[in-house]
Amino acid sequence: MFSVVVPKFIQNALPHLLVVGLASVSPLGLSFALDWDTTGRDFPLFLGLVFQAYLGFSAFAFVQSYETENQKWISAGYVVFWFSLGMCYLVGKSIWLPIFLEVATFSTILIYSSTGFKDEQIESLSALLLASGISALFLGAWVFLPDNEGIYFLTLAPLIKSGFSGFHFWLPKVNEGGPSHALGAFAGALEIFPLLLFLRYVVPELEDKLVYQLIFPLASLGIFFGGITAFFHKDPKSLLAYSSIESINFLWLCISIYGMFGGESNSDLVFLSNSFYILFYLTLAHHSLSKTFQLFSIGMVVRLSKLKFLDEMKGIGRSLNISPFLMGIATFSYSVLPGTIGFVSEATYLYLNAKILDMPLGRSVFLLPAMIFIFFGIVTGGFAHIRLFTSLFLSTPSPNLKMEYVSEERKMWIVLSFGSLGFWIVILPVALPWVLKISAIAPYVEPDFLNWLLSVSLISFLTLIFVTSLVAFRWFHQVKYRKFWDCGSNYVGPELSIPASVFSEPLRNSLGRYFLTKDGNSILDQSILNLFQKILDFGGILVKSTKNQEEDISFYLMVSSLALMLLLASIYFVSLGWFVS
Amino acid sequence: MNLQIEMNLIQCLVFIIAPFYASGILRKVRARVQGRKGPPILQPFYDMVKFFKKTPKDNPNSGPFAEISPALAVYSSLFLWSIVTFEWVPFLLIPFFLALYRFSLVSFAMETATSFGGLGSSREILLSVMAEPTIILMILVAQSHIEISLTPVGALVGILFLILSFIAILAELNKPPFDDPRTHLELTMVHEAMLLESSGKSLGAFELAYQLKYVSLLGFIIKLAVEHSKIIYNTDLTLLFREAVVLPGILVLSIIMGLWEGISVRRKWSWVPEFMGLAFLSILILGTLVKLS
Repeated sequence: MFSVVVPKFIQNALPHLLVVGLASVSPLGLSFALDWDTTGRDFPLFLGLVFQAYLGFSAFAFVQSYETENQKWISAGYVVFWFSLGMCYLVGKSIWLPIFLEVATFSTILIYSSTGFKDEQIESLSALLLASGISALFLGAWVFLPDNEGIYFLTLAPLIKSGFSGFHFWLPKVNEGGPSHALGAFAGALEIFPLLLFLRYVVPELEDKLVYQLIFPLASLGIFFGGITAFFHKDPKSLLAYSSIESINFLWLCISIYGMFGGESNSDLVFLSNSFYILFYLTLAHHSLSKTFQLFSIGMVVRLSKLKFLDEMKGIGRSLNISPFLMGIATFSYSVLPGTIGFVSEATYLYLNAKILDMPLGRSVFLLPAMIFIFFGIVTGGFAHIRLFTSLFLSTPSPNLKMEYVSEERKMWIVLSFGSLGFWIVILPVALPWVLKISAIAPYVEPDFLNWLLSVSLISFLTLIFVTSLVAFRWFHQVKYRKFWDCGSNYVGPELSIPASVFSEPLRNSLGRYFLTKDGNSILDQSILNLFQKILDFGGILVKSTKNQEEDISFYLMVSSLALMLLLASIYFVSLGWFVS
Repeated sequence: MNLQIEMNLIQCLVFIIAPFYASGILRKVRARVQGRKGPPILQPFYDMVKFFKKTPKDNPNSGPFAEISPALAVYSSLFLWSIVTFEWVPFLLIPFFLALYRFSLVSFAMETATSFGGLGSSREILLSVMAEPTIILMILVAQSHIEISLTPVGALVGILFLILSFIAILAELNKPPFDDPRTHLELTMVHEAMLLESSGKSLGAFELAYQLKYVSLLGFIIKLAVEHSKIIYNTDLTLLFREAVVLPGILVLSIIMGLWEGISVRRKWSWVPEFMGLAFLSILILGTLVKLS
């Protein structure tokens, strides 16, 4: 009976599926045993666990299609990753929080095991470990300090770990070398954890509005920077990292407005605060599902082509022989096409902006300059995904382009993984009238806002029905007759189809050159990394020659000993109460 | 109740009539300016009927997007036009249906993998990247309740705002100085270059979609002007006037557009980002000034 109901390709992977599935779902199960207020203050954490339980399955399905070797080790890595990340949600303010976060991060060494640990992978892991380590350090400080002092450390930790504007430079490095299933899991689960942690523990406690007033402009700049850099980037995985930076900063923008106006007496401000709280969840769902999808789909073609730059991969997705409608669902969402969760999120943002414009003078004028950055960031970020999809999945590939063979079984896993994510990208907008009845968010949905969301949901429903009928029945047109209209030299197909840079190059001189180098690296991030390198190379000043001599060892030992003694002396004096007022 | 019925009647009339004559008038005026007699006003409609009767022939590279894109373009434009005419949902949704329209065209052009399709798509994206923030800003203003006062400064700011909005619409409609649809040289065009591989009813659908998009954006700017100025007072008749002015408004704007197409030329592409960036900043500054006033 079992063998009839469950397809063979799933049966083959069933033991791994069960173990990984248990690891990703068990923290959610454990949350029911705790005395959690899932309809109130603990809702953000509960939602994070729901997302990770679902993404655990999608990522597993994707691993089956993506990896051909070391699947046992990768599965073991995911078991540790999902369980420890889930435990981070459950343990609350305790020393276990930084410990589990570090365990989750270190488990990625197993997840990376099929990559061969070349330079790029080592850099990717190092960047991840560095960001996670610093965050864990701040989380540790929060755990041990009293609430009123520790809360600032708890503010910094999520900002670093999520890739907030200014702390983001590690994220593109991680994406450059990581396997796509891991990057998808990071984007969908690991990057949203800090935001949910902030929402659960910082927002209810933090009375200082200055923090939100600082987050707001920086987040606006982050959206601008992320969107534009993504549009011009040449490496598809880094492009998606910058797109993540844009989305994450948009989420921080929502949190900042929610926090800034929360608790005000003015009804307009309360409306804004509540509505941005809802928008946060809508955008979170959009980011988590769509970005994971994009990293999976783009990562898959990058892996199969074994190429690095976008222009080299022109049309590679077409060789996969999987429907472009399926492979493009997340692109449709990022292009804010009606019927997707991306549309709901961006349309709602516009709606709230119109509300802000109607507010009394002082409150709204400061938002107008921010709009320059936010709109340009959102628009260019959206076009970055169109540029990716059209050049990778619609252009015609060169016959010389070599691609790894994909078996039917692997294709089934691709369809399963992408289908599981794509389903929610298009169903969530239609299901909004029911989603908004969830008791944890229903009190925040004011009548005007509800009407708006219902309109958006209706539009999504109509569009979804129309497009589905068009795709399924092709009632308007079916390709039957083909003819080539020769416009010169009988060229047809790969010689004429265009690569991704044709979209971005015309804007490079007027816009792109201020953000990216000619090689396609971010000028800002490269400068930050160069600065770090200079700081870390400080010891180079003390080295006398480039060629090491035997006696140099004693010199270096002397420098190290002096540094250690200085450190111990500092700790001793601090313990005596020096330097502390 | 009677007023509501009258309003709905006017809206229905506008909805049906405007797409038929607007583009024809533009072509007629453009031809007259250039010293030609020009085609009949209903020629775009006759062309569409002719196209819809023919079976399309597709490019050898065409795939699933060639099958759905034409209908999708009509769907998005029809939605646009219905939003502008009946306002059954807020104007805020306009950019999203413009995005759907754009995506259907670009996907169609990219799938055919011709150099003209690629070139047109690239230019379409360039124009959209620069015009879309401005259009979003316009629509935000349209949706808000900002009103421009009837003072000399207020009138100047309002007129400047409308001119800049009109420029953004020219970019969105691929009109001069951003594009030159009258040349019929594929290398100089955007919209037509993308549709070069379409034929029969697919081409008819794309043409219909463009006509609907054209009247939608003109209708929108007229409503924007009337809604946010104090030219008319806020009585029941105001609402009637607001609807009634759309049809003649589109006529006037089509004549202006025809004159403009007849005398202007397309500027070089490197000029577009700078100019549209400037237009965006100007609209933002004007918006701030209106808010401050």
